[in-house]
Amino acid sequence: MKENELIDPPEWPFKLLRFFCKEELVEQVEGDMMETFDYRVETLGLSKAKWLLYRDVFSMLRPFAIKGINFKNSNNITMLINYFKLTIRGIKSNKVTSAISIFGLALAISCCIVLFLFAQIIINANDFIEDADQIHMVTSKAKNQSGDEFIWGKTPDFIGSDFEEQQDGPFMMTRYTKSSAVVRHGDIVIEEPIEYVSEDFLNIFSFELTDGDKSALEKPTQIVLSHKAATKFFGEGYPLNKELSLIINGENVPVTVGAVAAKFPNNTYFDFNILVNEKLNPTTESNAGSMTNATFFKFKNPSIKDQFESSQKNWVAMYNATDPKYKISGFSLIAFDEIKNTPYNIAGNVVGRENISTLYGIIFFGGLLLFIACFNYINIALVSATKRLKEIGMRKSLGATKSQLINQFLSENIFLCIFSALAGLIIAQIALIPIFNSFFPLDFTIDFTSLQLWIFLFVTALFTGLISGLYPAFYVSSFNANEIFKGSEKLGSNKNVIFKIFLGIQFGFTFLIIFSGIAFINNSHFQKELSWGYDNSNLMVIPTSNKSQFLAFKDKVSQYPEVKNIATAAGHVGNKASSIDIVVNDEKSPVLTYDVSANYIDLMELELIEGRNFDQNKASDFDNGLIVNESFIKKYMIANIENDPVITADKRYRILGVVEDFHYDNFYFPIDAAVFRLSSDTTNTMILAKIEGTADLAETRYKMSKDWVSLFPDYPFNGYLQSEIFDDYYRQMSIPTNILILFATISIILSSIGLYGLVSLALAKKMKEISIRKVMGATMKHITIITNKPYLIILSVSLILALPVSHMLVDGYLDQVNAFHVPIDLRVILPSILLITLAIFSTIGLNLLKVAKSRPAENLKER
Amino acid sequence: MKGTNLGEFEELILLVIGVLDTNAYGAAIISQLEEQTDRKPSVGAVHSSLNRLVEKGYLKSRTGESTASRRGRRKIYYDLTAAGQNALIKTREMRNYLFSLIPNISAE
Repeated sequence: MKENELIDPPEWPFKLLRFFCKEELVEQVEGDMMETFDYRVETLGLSKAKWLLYRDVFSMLRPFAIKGINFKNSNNITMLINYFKLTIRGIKSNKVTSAISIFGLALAISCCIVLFLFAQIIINANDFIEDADQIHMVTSKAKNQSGDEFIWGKTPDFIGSDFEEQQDGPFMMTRYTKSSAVVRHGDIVIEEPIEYVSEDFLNIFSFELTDGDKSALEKPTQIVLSHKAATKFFGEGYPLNKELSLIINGENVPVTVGAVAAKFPNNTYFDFNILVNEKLNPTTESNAGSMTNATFFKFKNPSIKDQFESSQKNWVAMYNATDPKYKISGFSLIAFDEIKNTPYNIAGNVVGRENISTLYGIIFFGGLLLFIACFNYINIALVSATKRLKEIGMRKSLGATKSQLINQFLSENIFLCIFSALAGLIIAQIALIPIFNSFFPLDFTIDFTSLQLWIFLFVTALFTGLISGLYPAFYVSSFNANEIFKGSEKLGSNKNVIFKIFLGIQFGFTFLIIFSGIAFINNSHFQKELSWGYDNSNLMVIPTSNKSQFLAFKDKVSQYPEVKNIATAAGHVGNKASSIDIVVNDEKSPVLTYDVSANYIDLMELELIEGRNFDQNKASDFDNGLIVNESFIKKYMIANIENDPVITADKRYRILGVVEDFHYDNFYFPIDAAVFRLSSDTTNTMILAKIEGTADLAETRYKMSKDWVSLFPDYPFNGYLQSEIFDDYYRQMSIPTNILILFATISIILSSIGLYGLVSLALAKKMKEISIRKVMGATMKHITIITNKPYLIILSVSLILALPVSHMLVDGYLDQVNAFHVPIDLRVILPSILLITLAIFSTIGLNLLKVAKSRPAENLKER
Repeated sequence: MKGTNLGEFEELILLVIGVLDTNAYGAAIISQLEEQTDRKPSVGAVHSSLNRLVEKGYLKSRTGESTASRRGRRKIYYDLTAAGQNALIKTREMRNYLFSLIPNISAE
């Protein structure tokens, strides 16, 4: 075999091997595996070779090869098996504490699994596209108007066409232009996003097809539907070769369905809705300045790259000669599998991906929960160790070394963590994943055949086992056998300070999560109650696409008995606005402008606080009248509306009136200056119908859509209710809220378990003292104080520190993303404090109940 | 020293190492086994046997060069020791002897 033909084996198996295999063996074994892999690729094929490679790695999981096992002493294996038995016995004999610790770890691990699925989507983005290293996207380097360079996903249309003729070797290219068209099938008429692509598109991108084949795009009369689009038009029926019509630029183009794509996987960051041959695109091949959203090349031969380099100068010159808005200084190629790793943002990129910071956020949350769970486990492990003091003493007297004891405790711990990981998998599968799926439009599933998942689980279990087991193992094994039997070994006497600090940090984190959860809940309530500055109820908005449609449908709607009032507009709040450039001190600034009919202000119930409304009988109102909002008055510092004209490049406007500020956009954005101008039905395109409060809105809407279809069967009915315009925004805002609530719940549970463990450790230590006090007549109140004082102090300190930090973080975050958010005040602070104190006191109370019930005589008996 | 009896797989490996003469290392042994016996032994099984055979004193190892297809990893060569050769001869003699005692199989 020639050297440059070597296929590199996958990396994962070797990483795993290096993880567990003895160092002196790794080099030799890896070499053998690689060589064998090559040999098998040749004789058995790639997939078989890969499969056998995985098997080989697992076949190395043998005592002689695993790190840390000394083969010379084969008793170790027997020992491990014994430790395993001991673990099982330990779980059986301490059902409650074991259940708590396994449950805590399992809960944290199940969160980690869900977060792992998220991370997997990001890491494996687009990995279902084959030969991603051969596909290249062309990017342009452009400068914006202020002279800053940016990388642009858009490229001029002509870029592939002349290139194709000079190439050698296998080469394919496609353009990808996003557009939209009205799609009609029978009664269904919908405006849909479409993508114009070249015929090789499906040859380049290996999207899975459920019907039809890749050649579908070769005929311009055929289109390719995504699974989603196919279900929209044909339900679950068989859509192949069915006819549809596209209305492009007002022209009716009949097409047939040539292929249907399978449902896109979750990790797709590049997809399509309806693929249409670019020959149907009315704007291509017209001029050198027209742009396409993306251009992709597919080639194996690296010499194409050199040709690309040599021809790009011509392209730059050709494009810049068209005097474009953004001048281009060069083009470059980026491999498709590199796009997801690109550190910079490509403007207008169609292969969008989640920000890498999401991944860090995911790792952070997973780590946080795992930290809390480990900490809990340490506590519980220490508590249960008190019950094993005699066992430890016995083993030590019989000659067990410290390292043997550590081994025992660590391996027991790792076994326990492996159980927990499996339990976590079950929790994730039956509870957590369905919950997460209800938050997102994604459809998470656990792929039980995924090697990555099992490696992740194994590594997490091992890591958790080591982290949570190290301290208890060292601690317990350091006891002196003599002291144990004399009964003078005091448990938990030395390093408790570290534990208290950990406890403080843990509760601080928990508080932060609770605090953010409550702030987000309050915020969504706040925003739903927030007045939009006008009456958004019972308002139907119907955009039309031409004059005759507008007039005919306005006439139709005005005959509806339930329609109270009709206004018309060319620009409407929440839908569409134009802008005028206002000149102040020789500087132009654009201002949001709505062109509306005279009764618009009344119909919308915008609050007029100064001046008067439009008068449609005054020609001057049409000519230069303006109604402005409060922000306008503030921004341009208008003292007197009657004396201060508004000046644009070609006109002087008079301010007729001022309305209260209103929300024209969602609450991410602050309210800026906005104005209304009077316009007439000769230019208006939108119909606004105020419906009687008693009418059924859904029914009215249905009636309108029916009438629309019978009047204009070739055009979609785009009518909507004004109250729905921020629905997407609310939905988006609810995702972080829901996740935070879930995390807050889980962290409260975990932290309470941890505190429970720590307090019961303290009680166990002081049981004799407490018993004597009880016998001598101490009250429960007194006992509570003496046993819990240190914890209450540390928790108070932690809360006092966490409160301002949480306040700052959450307020800062909300400020950054939302111009209008709930004030972080007592309504957030009090419930958070209440919730965490409730958790603390119920945990402590549960322990004290045990003390109250315990019999002093039992505890004082010499055992 | 461990017990000196040879398992079937161990015997096969010793034989293959003998066949490969001075050129016996992990991957070569595996590909020989695959070609000659139609088995697909796992790397783990082969290395665990090699490890045992070294402990029994039947094999010696020496470090060798690396090749491109090993992506820079060095080879470890295995050679039969005198004891290893002896063990092979003994097993073969024992087999032949037992074989000759079977009444219903003709020697041809």
